[in-house]
Formats: sequence, C-alpha cells, structure tokens
Amino acid sequence: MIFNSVAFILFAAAFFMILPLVYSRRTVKYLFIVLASFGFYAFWDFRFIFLFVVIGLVDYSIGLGIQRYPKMGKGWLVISISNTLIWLILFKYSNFFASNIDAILRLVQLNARVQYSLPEFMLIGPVGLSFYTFMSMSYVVETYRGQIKATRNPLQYLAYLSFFPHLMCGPIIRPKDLLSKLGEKIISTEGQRWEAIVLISHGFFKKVVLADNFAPIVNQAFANPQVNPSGIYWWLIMALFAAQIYCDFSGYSDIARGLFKAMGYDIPLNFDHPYISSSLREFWQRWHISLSTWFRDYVYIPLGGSKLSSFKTYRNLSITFLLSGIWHGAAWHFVIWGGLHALYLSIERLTHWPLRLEKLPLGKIVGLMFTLVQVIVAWVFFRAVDFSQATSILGKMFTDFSWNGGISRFPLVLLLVLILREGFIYLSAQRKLQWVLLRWKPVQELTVALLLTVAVYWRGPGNVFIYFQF
Amino acid sequence: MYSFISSFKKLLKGLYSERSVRSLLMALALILLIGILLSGRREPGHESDLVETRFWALKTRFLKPEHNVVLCGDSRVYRGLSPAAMGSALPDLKIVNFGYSAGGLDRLMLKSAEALLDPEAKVRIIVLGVTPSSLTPAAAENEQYLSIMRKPFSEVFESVFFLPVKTFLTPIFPRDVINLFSGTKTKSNGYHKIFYDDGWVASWYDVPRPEEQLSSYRARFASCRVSSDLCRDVLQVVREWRSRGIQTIGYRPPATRAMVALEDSMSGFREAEFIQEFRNAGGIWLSFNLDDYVSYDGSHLDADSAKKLSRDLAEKIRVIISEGKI
Repeated sequence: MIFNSVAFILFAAAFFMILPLVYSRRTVKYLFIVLASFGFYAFWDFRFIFLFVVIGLVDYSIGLGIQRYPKMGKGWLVISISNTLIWLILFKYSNFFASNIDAILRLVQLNARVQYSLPEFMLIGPVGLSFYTFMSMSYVVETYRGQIKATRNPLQYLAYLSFFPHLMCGPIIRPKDLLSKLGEKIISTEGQRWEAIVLISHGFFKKVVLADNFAPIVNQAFANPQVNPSGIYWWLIMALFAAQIYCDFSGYSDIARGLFKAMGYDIPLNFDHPYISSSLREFWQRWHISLSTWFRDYVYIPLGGSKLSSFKTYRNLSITFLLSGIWHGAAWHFVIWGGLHALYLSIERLTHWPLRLEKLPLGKIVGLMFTLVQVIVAWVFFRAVDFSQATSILGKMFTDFSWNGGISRFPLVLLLVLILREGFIYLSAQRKLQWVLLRWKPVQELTVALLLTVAVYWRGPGNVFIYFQF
Repeated sequence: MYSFISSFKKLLKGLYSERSVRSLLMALALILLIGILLSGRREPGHESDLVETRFWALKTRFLKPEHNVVLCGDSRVYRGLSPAAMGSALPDLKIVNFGYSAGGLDRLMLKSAEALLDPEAKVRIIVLGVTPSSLTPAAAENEQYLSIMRKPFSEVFESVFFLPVKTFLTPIFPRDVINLFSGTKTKSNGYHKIFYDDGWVASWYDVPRPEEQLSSYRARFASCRVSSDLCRDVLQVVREWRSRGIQTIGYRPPATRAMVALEDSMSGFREAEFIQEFRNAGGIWLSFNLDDYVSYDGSHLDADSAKKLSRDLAEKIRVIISEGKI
C-alpha cells in the first residue's frame, strides 16, 4: 500500500480508530500493529511477509542469545549479519550478480544465461527490504554493544520492525527511538496531532504535487536521451530530478513522521533541507540522515573513522560511500554515484574549500552553488540506466550550452515554488525573514487545508515512491 | 436520549476545537466543492488515462484461470484480436486477449498465459501472435507487463474498483481551468482507442498513416534482432504444452506489406524455418492474406480489420476443433 492512495486513507482511518481501544494492553497493541502492518504490506505483495517473520524472529532470538551468553557475542553477531546478508543477496542482489557472471562468461565466449534462469520472484524484489534489514541489524549491534536491552516479547520486536509508517522506505529508526517506546502507554497530545497534520500535508504536497509532476518530464528525457542534445536542457532536467528525488523521499519521510507523531511517537528528522548546504559534509548531515548516521555508526566508525592516518580515513570514507551506493541499487552506476561522493568529500577534507570560501564575500552562496553542482553531477549516475548513458549526458552538460526548449512550463513553475520554499526556510533559519502572518493560527489551518486540496487536484501521474526500489 | 445527544454534542465540540480536525474538515469541504463545480463541465474523455490504467491492471492482476483460449503476443495481438468478435464463431469457449505492448514470447509470458487456462477444460488453446519483434531480447524484458506486476496491489486495486472516485477527483491543472472557463476545446489528435474488459483495444486514426511505424521498426532492428534462444524456448514450451494436452496455434499478425518486408530483411526472423519447427513441435500454424486487412500505422490493424481477423481466426479454430485435431 502506498500513502498516496485511497486505500491508505481508509486503512489509516480504521487504524487510528482502533488504536485507542488497544493501546493500554501491550501484547494486544503489538499484535494489532503487526497484523495491521502485515495487511498494509500485503497490499503490495503478501509473498514477502515471511521475510519479516524470518529475519525478525532470528534477530529477536539472537538479541536474547547475546544477552544470555555475552561471551559468545561476536558469534551471535556474525550469525545475524550473515542471515541478513543472505536474504539481501538472494532478493536484492542476485540479479546483479547473475548479470555480472553472464558478462564475465561472455568474455570467454560462454553463453551461460544465468540471469534468465532466475525465478520471477527474485526479479520483483521485496519492497522495503533494505530498510528493515538495516533496522534489524542496528538492533543486534546495539544489543551486542550493550547500548540497549534485548526485548523479551517477539511481538514487540516484530511491531518495531514492521510498523507500517516506516515499512516501505524508512526512515531507518533506531531501537532507542521506537522499540522501547512501543512498550509505553503513549497517547498523542493535541500539539503533536497538529504537528502531525502539518507534516503529512507538506509530505503529500512534496510527493504528489512536486515530485509526481517532475517525474514524467525526467522519465521522458531519460527514456530517449539522444533526442535533445542541449546542455542547458540537461542541466534543467537534472535540476528537476534533484528536486524530484528530494520531494519524493522527504515527502515520504514527512508523512511517516507525521503518522508516528499522530500516535505520540517523535521520530528523528530524516531530511533537513539538504539543498541549502554549503558543503558536501553539510549535505550528508542533512540528506537521508537516518541512513547516513547508520553508515557512520556501524561502518565508518568501526573501520576507524577519521582517527587513524589520512590514508585510512580516505579509505574508510570510500568504503562507506561505495557501500552506500550499492545499498541504493544493485547496479554499477549506483556504486559510481557513491564513489563520486567519496571523492568529493575527500577533496573537501583535503582542501578545506568550504572554510576558505566562507571567509570571502558571498562565499556561503558560492559554496551552496558549488555543492549543488557537485550533487547534481552525481545524480546523473544515480538516475541514468547505465554508465554509458550517464557519461553521454554529462558530455552534453559540459560541452553544449545551446537551448532549444523541450520542457513544459508547469514543472518549471513548480521547481520555482520549491526553490522559493527552500529559500524561505534558509532565510528564516538565519533569522533574516520572519512572516508574522504565518504565525496566525487560522492562516496555518487554512494553509494545511489548501496544501491537501492542491495535493488532490494538482497531483501528478500516479507514481510509487522512488526509494521503494531500494 | 438527552444525555446521548449532549455527549455527542460534546464530542463534536471537542473534535472541532482540535486544529488538525478543523484543517481536515476545511480540506474536505474544499475538495468536494471543487469536485462538484467541475463535474459535468470537463471535456469528454478526460478520464481516458484512468480507463487505460484500469484496463491494464484488470488484464495483468485480476484475470482468473477460467479460459479456453488465451491470445498471447505484443501490441499487434492486443489491438488486433477481439475475443468478443471471436465469440461469434466459438460461442462455447471463454476467450481472453493477453497481449502487451512490446511483449515478448519468452518463458515468463508463455507461462503467465498458460496460468489463465481453465485446468479442467476439455478445450485448452493458446494462440501465439508471432512477430519478429516479440522474439527479440528487448521484448523479453517485458517492460510493460513487469511494471504492472510490480505495482503495489493497492494501486491496481484502486484503479479497478475506485474508478468513479478517481474520476471525480481527476487532477485539473491551471491550463485546464483556463480552457474550461474560456470554453476552449482541446484539439483532437485524430487517434482513438477503446478499451474492452476482454483485453482487446480497438484503435484507429481518423486519417491512416501506413508508413508511420516503419522508421521506428528500422531503428529497433538495427540494434536488436530475433534471438535464436527465444525461438528455441518457444518451441520447447509448445512441446511441453502438447504433452499436457494444451494446443498451440501460431500465426503472424498481419501488417502492411512494407512492414513485413522490412521485418523479413532486417529482423533475422526466418519465417519458413520457424513455421516448420513450430509444426514439428506439435503446434498448428495459420496464415492470413495481408491484403484482407488494413493497418492504420503500418503495424497495427484498425478496429474493423481487427474484428475481421478475429472472426477469420475463430472460424479456422472452429474448423480445427470440428475436425477433431484438438
């Protein structure tokens, strides 16, 4: 089930009506959350529900095992990570590995066709797998580190892992932010419910009005990249894609956080206006925060972080970002996208250009623009279907500065709306702009109502969330 | 009674004092108001995208294994064969069109077609519309079919069962609003499509353009030719079906002579050889006279020709059944 659907509105209405009836009895509440979440997932594809149960119950048992036999902690950890990796490889990366094996065998004149022999269910790919496996891994690692206590109730663990707002594409919620709170008798306050509706309305606006109206023009451009050779056209297409992926994913996160807030749970921010960053380091502190911090805490720091030699720091950075690339998608162009970000950050670390720029007049703005250009260039690899398409588009962007149209006005107007929105937030954050009018409660309520109305009548062609594929 | 009314009033008052509820009520009122203002004023056909989405969702996700005849292939099949028109010659058989845009005749599609047959039926036939394009690796990607298979169930469920709600809430963009109130009509592009629940799409141009598709097919075959592996797979499946009592009937969907010549010269499809092997595998091959049918774009038959081809095909199947070959 997706948030932008009539079925979800009916589902959510039923869920929020029943929840108060069960919230005071823990086990009944967990069972209700698990069943509702499985129902939510089954609307997508019921065949993969078993994965939650298998991964969930294995990691639940391992959590208890670690607590009971702490001396065998490392062994438990290896079992848990191996189990998760097996499922990930089987359902997310088997097609990638098979196509690479085929390619290698073709080099030695062997036509094995391993890819074609994979069963259909391996090609579909379970939605949300990368997200909930990472949540499960963080639970086991934190139990191993003694940061949290393992839960004794398997239903509580399954409820944490499968809770429907984060189920399809995150945020990747740490156990301390949700698992333990599930056991408390939490009920939302009026203020939380208001914040929830604000988050949900903004999330829907970003997803269905902005992202879904950018999507057709971006998809069309990438379906036939040879049609338009103009470099300016491709810069605009990439700006639209940058806006699309941001609105799509942060829209989902806003809705998910709003839903949690309506139940009384405060989930950490996942996107903090990343395109107003004036360095790549800042960008990664604002973009997909739950994933960035996951890789920081469970990959980068255990590798030694930046506390070892310079060489090792750059090596750790590269490993972390290459893994982040392959996490996003089982294809080489995602790996290159991750590698490019590792390169950007290494250069930034080596030259300290953001600090140097900041000292110059308008340096922050120049830094912001430079960061944006780097991010957009990397997005080309992320969005392209393969490496050769990406290089051909980049060639156009940096060599051809002609303009021959090809983009309708409406998405460009919406892009301007987004730029103004982010600019307003940027200036408000620096206390350079304050609108008293927006603090007036009736105006706030009307704004929410208008955002929801616009989300209904200006919604773009129905599109699933981009991050569902990851 | 009084206490019930008073507590109900209290509940409403309590709800209304919630800012979130006030906003939601405002939004609901605005959405309904706009929907009511627009209904009846929009141009006919504004919901055509929704109808098309419903058509593909229905075909891909809601068909049951209850058919005697499944028509399988690419767009020349789903636009070129009407199960309803075939029904006149085969009234006792349940027929469905399972064709897809740029669909391949690979194992995935053949198995999916087989899954639609009634396992208990005496007569079980799969009709393959064999075009050179459907035997290329590009077609075997089955992009359209898989994209619908990958859609969340809620999305396909809604597109099939919530059509009236979705039509009421059809998006309307600033330009549409201006056109609506200024009385400006959208110019027709002269292309018409009607979607039928049995899987057929009747389509035609006001003015036929029989050369139109030639250039795109030329480009397609320049980079992607018929795969001998896929041909072998088709023949293998035909053999398997034969051993399980499923009869396969093959035919090459008619197109313009120029298109057939282009396909023969560029695609790498050796038709005579394929037909021979198809027959050896236990399939029945049927041929049709190209000049009996009209293509509106060089590749697809117009609605009238599609009905004629459907009747001709059904008649041949009827004869085959009556001769006891099935």
